[in-house]
Amino acid sequence: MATAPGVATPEEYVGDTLAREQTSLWADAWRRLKRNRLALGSAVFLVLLLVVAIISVFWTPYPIWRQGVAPTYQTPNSDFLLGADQAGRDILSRLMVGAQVSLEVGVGTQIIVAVVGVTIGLIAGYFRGWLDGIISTLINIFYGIPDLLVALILVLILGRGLDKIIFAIAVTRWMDMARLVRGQTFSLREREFVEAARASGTRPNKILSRHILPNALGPIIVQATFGIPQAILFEAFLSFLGLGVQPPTPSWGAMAADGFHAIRIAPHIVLVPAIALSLTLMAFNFLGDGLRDALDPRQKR
Amino acid sequence: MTAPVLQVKDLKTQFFTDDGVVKAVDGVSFDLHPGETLGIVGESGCGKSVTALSILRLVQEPGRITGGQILFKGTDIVTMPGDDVRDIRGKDIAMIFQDPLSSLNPVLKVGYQIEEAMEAHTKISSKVALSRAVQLLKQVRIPAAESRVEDYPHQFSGGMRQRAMIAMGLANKPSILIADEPTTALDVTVQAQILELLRDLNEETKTAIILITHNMGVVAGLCKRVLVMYAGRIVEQGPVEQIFKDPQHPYTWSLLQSIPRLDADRKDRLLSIEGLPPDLIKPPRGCRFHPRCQFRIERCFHDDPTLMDVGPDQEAACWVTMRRALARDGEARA
Repeated sequence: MATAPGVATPEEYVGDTLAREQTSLWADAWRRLKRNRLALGSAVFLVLLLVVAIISVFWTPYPIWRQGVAPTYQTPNSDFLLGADQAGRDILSRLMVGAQVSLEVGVGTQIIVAVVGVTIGLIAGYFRGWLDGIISTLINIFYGIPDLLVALILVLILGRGLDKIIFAIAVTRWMDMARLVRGQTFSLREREFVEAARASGTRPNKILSRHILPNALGPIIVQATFGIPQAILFEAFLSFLGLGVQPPTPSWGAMAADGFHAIRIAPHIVLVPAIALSLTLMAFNFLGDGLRDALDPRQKR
Repeated sequence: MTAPVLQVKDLKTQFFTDDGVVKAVDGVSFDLHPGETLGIVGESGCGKSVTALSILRLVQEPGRITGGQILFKGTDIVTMPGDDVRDIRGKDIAMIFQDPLSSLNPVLKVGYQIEEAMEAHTKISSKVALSRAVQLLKQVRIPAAESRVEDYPHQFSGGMRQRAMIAMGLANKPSILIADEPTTALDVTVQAQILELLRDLNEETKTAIILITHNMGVVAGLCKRVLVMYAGRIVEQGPVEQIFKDPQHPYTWSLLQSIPRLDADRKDRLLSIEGLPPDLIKPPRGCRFHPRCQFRIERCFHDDPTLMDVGPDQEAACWVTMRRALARDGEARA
């Protein structure tokens, strides 16, 4: 094509001006999340917690189960940064392993909840009809039974292993996710791109996995992030009641329960795990809030 | 003439609502020949979109096809097992929708969505699928197609999205492309480009096109034959030139009179059709258009007209027909 030097051909011009930076939905969300200081701070805190939990698998300052490494009720000093409990065990070491337990419970529960809730929610929302009727009834029945009762019975039947506790908590927690995904699927299945996919002969399993699930992923992630602290708190509560993980494996709930009788003379035994628990729960909730704002396309600025 | 690729015979689609049975499509019959361009026009709620969805058996609950046949190359889609219909969708009969933004999945790359349309019907490697997607985007005149396949729908302009939808529709070289109001959501200038593209593709690929629209001008720009629908029925059909020059049904005539024209006197008022489309739960007795018809005669109130020959290749369902109505008005004025 004969054009003056320095003048772009129409093809070049169009290609050049329209070639914008690739911004996917996730890149966009990440950009918005980075602006949220509280959420970002929480994320950093949680990453540190994860690092501590991983370190605790290989190394702790003192063996967590050995009694009498320090004087009983030792207050924090340079040798025992967070003091010792009523049996003279190092609290810092136990706190580190407790973080591992808490994260395992929180994340493990939410993985089960996500797999079960998403599958059930997608099926109920997409196929509707009698299938949805059965699933919705089931969800309502589970909401009707007190979760503490279900968890206690399951722990008594199955035993007190970490995996069993994760399972027991997941049984009481899958309904929120199922109901959320069902609602999302209900509205997404009416969208035109789903109809367009149907009109081009796409099979239902592909419509669910490629068209409906990716569009519901934002709310699912937010729901799971809020679900983690709920599960952690529930485990801490079970442990506080003495029905959590089997001692001597430390759990923040059990550590708080250990120090409860001595709260007047050695408050640090209760306070340390309680503060760790509170900070962790707060961090997850702030991160969840941040993710919700970042993933909500209506908040686009 | 070659055998029709699609024959719709006395199609009836009804919606079973709490208020009663809505007869959205009530005895529609037409033939579509290979490579033909057929327009279906009518105002909102006349059953044109439901006709299109019925052809692909995509009518959703509480709607159901309650009667008639849809013969695709001789086999009846209405009675076909669900899996067989899914094989036809997108492979033999493709459909594109009104709003290209909401018809594309916002979280998937455009290229992926075109590839998916192919992979739903043929086993091909992802490399072949990608090069074919690029080729299709080129075919629908998208510049820099090689890099554009990697884009998300929100990075496309409205016209490009509709082009991408058309590319998806053509992915499996269908024999029929149904376009449901493909230009309604677009700017006027882009509308013309899309129509031109559809016309070119029709010539290049010999894909028959069914164009559904409420816009007579769009039909004139693309189609050779047109069906005019009113209240779930075809009220007039024939070649486009013939219908535009000499409409015989008062409804068609009114639709044409309601189009603004540049060459008309500024003082002339545009015609608007009084009243609303009839309630399809309880359609009016006699001719369904009679409550809104300015040329009605006594017979229209109780006797329901069927399609009758009114010209070469032209049929209209009217007792009066415009030829007689205009002659009568001429006498009255004289």
